[in-house]
Amino acid sequence: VVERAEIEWGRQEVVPASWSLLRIASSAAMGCSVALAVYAALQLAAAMSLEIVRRDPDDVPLFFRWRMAILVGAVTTLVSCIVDVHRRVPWLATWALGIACVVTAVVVGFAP
Amino acid sequence: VNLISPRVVEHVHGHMGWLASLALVHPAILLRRTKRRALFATAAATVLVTLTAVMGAAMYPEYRTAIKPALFAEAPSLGWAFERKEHLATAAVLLAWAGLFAHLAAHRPNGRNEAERLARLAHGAYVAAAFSALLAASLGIAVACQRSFL
Repeated sequence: VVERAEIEWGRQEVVPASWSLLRIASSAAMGCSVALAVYAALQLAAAMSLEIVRRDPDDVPLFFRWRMAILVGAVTTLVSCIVDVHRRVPWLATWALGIACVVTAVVVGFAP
Repeated sequence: VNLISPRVVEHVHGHMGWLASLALVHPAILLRRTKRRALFATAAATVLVTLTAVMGAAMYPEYRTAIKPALFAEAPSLGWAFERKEHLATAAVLLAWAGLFAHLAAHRPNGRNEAERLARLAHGAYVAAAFSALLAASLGIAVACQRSFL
């Protein structure tokens, strides 16, 4: 009984801390993937003369894309951390990374 | 010699770019085994590629006014190569950070499947980051051979 109680107590002590770091880190990984996808999507839209988000004419386009990517990436990190996306939809982070890589490859190849 | 002149910053940026690219290859190789921990290698490579990007960003306004118009006039294909380099460098930085976070998360899993999945994600992110960084560094050399800060 003592042994089981110690194991349970150990779980209670250790699991929440490691679980929260796991949750934050996996959410941040997803946020970075989404940020890259947003950056590439904005460039793709600009290459096709589509204005998804209004940009100040004096703004440097590269810095504008970086700002938007960081903003959306940060919001994604926050939301996926709150919703605990990595547990609910385990494959989503991998898919987000894959999609970001594909969109970036399209931009580099066809819409620089 | 003015240490913050664009020419000096450009040279340091170029050398750091190649170092960062090679540094990113290291975790891309190490993390192919999903149980491997390589926190120092991943963090160092990620910080190095981020610092290189910050230096590039610091020079960018100067590049836009001093080099870009002349580069497109002289060799449009190299002008477009530099545009590609910007995207690849951005991808390298963001993929490296995604890899670092996934690697951190992979060693705090609640189950074996979760650890495997996150470790594979970290490996994939670093492979893509290393590939992007090497390509960006190569394009940077090609552009610098054509035109650089005086």
